[in-house]
Amino acid sequence: MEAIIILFSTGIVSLFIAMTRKPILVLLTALIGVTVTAIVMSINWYTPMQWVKYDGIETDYFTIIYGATATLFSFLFILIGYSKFSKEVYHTGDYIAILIFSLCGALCLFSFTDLFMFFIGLEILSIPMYVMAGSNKKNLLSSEAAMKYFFTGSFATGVLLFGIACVYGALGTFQLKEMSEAIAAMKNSSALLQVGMILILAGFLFKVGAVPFHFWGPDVYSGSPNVVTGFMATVVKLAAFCGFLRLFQLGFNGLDGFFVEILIAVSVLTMFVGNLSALRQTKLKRLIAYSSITHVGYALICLLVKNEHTPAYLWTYFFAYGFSIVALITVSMIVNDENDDIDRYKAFARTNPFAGFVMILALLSLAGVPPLVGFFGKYLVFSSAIEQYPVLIIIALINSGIAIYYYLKVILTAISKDDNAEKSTVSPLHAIVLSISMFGLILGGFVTFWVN
Amino acid sequence: MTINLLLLSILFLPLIGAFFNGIVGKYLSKSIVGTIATGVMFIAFFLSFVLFTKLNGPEVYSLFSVIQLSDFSLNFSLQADTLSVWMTMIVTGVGALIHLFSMGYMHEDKGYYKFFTYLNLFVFAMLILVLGSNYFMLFFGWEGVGICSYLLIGFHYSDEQKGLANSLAARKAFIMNRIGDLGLLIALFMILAQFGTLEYRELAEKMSLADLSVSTWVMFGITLCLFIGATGKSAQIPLFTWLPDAMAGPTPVSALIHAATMVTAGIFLVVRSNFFFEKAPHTQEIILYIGLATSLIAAFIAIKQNDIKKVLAYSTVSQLGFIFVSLGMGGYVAAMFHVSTHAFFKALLFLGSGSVIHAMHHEQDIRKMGALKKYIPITHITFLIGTLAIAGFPFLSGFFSKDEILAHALHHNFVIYILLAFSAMLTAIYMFRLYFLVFHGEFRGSDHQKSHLHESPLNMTLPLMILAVLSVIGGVLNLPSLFGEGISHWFTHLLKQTDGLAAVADIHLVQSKIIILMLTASIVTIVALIFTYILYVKKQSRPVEDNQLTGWSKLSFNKLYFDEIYHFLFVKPIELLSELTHNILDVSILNKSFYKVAYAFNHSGQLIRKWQNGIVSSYLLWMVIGIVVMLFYYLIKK
Amino acid sequence: MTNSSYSDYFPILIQAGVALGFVLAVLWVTHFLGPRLKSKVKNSNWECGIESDGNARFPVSIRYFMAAILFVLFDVEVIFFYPYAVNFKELELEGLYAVILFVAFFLTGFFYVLKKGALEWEK
Repeated sequence: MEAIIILFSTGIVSLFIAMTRKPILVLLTALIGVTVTAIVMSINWYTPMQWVKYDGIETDYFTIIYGATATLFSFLFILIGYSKFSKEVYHTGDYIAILIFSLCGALCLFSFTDLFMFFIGLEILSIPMYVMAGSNKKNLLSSEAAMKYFFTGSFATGVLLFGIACVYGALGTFQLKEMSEAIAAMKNSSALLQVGMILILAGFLFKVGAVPFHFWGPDVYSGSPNVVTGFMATVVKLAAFCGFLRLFQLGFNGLDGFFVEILIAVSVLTMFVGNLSALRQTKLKRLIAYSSITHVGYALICLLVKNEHTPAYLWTYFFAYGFSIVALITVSMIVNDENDDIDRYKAFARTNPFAGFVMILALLSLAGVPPLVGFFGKYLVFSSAIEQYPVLIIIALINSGIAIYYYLKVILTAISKDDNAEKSTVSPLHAIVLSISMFGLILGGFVTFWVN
Repeated sequence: MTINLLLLSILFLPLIGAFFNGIVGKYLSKSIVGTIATGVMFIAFFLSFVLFTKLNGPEVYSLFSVIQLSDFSLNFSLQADTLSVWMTMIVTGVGALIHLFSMGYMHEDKGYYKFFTYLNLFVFAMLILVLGSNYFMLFFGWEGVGICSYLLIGFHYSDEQKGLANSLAARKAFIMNRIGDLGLLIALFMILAQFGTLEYRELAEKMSLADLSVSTWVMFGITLCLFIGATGKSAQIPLFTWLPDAMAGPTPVSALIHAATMVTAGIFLVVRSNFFFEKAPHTQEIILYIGLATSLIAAFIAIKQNDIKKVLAYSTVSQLGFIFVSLGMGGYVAAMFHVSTHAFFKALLFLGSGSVIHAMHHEQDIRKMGALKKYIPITHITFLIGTLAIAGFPFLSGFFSKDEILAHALHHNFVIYILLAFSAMLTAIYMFRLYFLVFHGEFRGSDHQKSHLHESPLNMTLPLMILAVLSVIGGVLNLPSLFGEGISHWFTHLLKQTDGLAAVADIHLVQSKIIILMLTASIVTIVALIFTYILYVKKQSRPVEDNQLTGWSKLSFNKLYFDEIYHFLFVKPIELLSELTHNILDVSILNKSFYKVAYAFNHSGQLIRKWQNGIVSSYLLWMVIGIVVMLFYYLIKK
Repeated sequence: MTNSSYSDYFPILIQAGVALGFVLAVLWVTHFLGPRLKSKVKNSNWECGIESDGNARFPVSIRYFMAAILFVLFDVEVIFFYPYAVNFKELELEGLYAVILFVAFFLTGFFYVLKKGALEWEK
């Protein structure tokens, strides 16, 4: 709770500091605030702080790990985006504050104890994203992305809210603990509860972008400014996954019965649709969008396995995934291309060896090549389910194979020769982020061991 | 230094040299590279000598476990006994001299550092082969020397004229060795299945038990497969044709690998496994006859070869066959004795031929040589000593070692003795022919070559001289009892300390028989000497042109058409089969299906992409359809 | 619902079939019922009233929307005072703190809006 308050205050303060028209001050405020948030959160690991009491929020170890990860990624994205945000001096504070507010929502989702906080958190997470998607005001695609995201998102929110209402109708409580007790005490399953759960599941599938609720993904990802795309792909996805996982595990005692079958079907569909669509993409961000859909397909496997380690596996997965996205988005910021064509990255690794190297690492990590961190994420997720759902894992592996094609295509483009290629300038902030993500990609595997 | 430490240093010195030269050799001057490579060899030889003096009784030193299971483990362990240390001394000693020689011989080569890297690596692998305490280590070294041999045969793969031929020769050697390796591997598996261990000492112990419950057929299988492995490495029928081709490598390589050390690996294997072979008389018979046939055929082929190295190569094959005859009769000590002396004089001969080739500007055809004794005196003298030694001239090393094998043969079977003696005579004939053609008569090369004839530098002639001395006195290692009990049979006593060999029966011929044997051998050699002297020096007979050969000469010149027969019998059918599988299996079935699968994915990607049509209302519709399907599924399921 | 089977859904199917059939039938039948006249005038668009002038989709100043949206926002937030006023006594001091916090946020937002110049009509 303290962390959320600090973070929220940071957002407000950055809003007002922006009035000074000095973007660097905003950046510093935001970075300090985010760092303090992370520190406060990690103190919670040892001695839970009780300054502000609120029943809707409860901090446990996974809250802290997830929260720290989300904070770290937000930190990196603020750094990445600064070069772009600071161009519009008037709005720098707004952009950064909005990202921070979204992070507040994410933190709520990591620690809620009742459906109310859950819903609020989800909305705080999403609404800033609707705004940020359209923050590239001069660009038609950006506006289109914002509109599409808003329409589909509000529809999904409606579905979700309806689901929550049904569940409340069936159980008569909002508290996760009481909900799980009520379900356990129930003799026959109630149709109202099941329908409510299905609707909540639908809302969840929308938020993470699983087939057939994924359509917003590519359009929004490719339309939004690069930083926002990255933020959506990492922090928002992580938060949504964690929030729903928390809801399903704590509130509904895990998903079983026909939910498992639905999830398997959705997972398989998601993998295939994401992968196959990605094969022929020519724009990097669309490619990232489809690849992120595919990764959601893999991550859904986590939800199928009833296991006390599931949150850890899921965390590992998104931790690994996040670093790749951070690196790729940084690279796309460096190339700074409105069109976002993959051809634009031709010879990138030759003109900018370091950035190119990190980019290749990121793509390989996405493809799951050991010893990069992406491999560990995939390995943990797949190995946790191989005994229960061998066929599903085989399908997932086939998809991993297909995916290598389009990752390699980008890598090949990046290392191919082009005499006309010009060296892009790498700003110091980007260099810092690239170094961090390089370390994350290479050494992240060990961190995951430590956490597990 | 303890024995363990000595073993380790001997083993790893060449490896360190190889690593050093392989990694930084490119940036160092040639003299430094050569000095390092040669230096580690001399140190290793010195250490092995120290080890030899310190040795009392077999000792096993286990470094670490490669595979550790409950009932079975593969250890990386070394064994020091008289056999392995003796072999180590030969490998490091002869190896050191050849390294020294190479410093001069390879001086103008671009891949100088690479050459020494490979040579050192080879020595390391060979040391693992001989020093290992189990068949696993042996196999490791076996494959190691195989790959080094391959690399060194094809060393001049980028040569404009002979590059392709060199590579093909390397490939041939490798493939032929693979066949043998397969035999060895099968033997290893059979041993493992039967006895559950690969350690020599444990196996020897198990084999020495009185109530050995292993069927003779299993023993026959194991030993036969071991022998197949040996035929590959030691160039016996039917896997011998690679060795003459292997002469494509630089001459020091031929000296070290294809004469003195690696090709004796097969013999070492049989001697090491003596406890198996003693229990498998049928295999011993097979070894005996194959060795005999190889010896005769190779000697016959050697008579009409015109390439100085090819003659020596066939001579090596023939000598190895000789040694296998001895092994087939249970004469392990005699075999090792001949291996040792052969290492001396064959290394000497190869290095001498290297010196000749060096002087002749890489001319290897003996028809273009002659009268070289004036120009390169040291090489001439040492080469003559080597020739006499291999021909079995009285009181040189080859005389004694060959005699011992002949004594075994006489003891065993008179017909075999006669055939072996005939083979020995052929050896003398072709060696003297080689010697006379190269060093006597008039010079037949071009004027350009004549003007450049020169004696090799000291670092090339010094090894020649040392080896010449060894070739002369090598016989004292194992003098017959004729010369007195005190000094004779030193080598026999030495090797008897090795596992299993103590039990092998000695043959004791009466003194009169020994004298008769020696006399016969001397007479045969001297007759051959006189015969060839008359033919090649007095009558100035010269090898005729390739296409004028007839009858036996033609057969000999064309190597009895072994290569052609193999080509027709094995290579052609396999090529046909591979062509067939390539066309049917690979191109039409596998390739096509792969392309089809890739196409299917790509195409479906193209289709699925269209699903994303950009219209929000359709997105919403699909979401609703999704929810409805889920709800319906729930209804049905319920 | 415990022993439901597929046959239970049969009546629903029948009903759905009847409903669909009726709609289709009626749509089909209308083509043949009643006279149909076609003429140029009849097919042309029918307009009435004053002549239209220009396009309805012309840009309106963003400030207009801003003022409207801000009004709605603050208006809605003021509505929260009503339940507080009703329960003023029951909520005691804690309620007061909550409302003070609420108003503080509220004022922060207002301050931000003012500073951003969203309410400056002329600029």
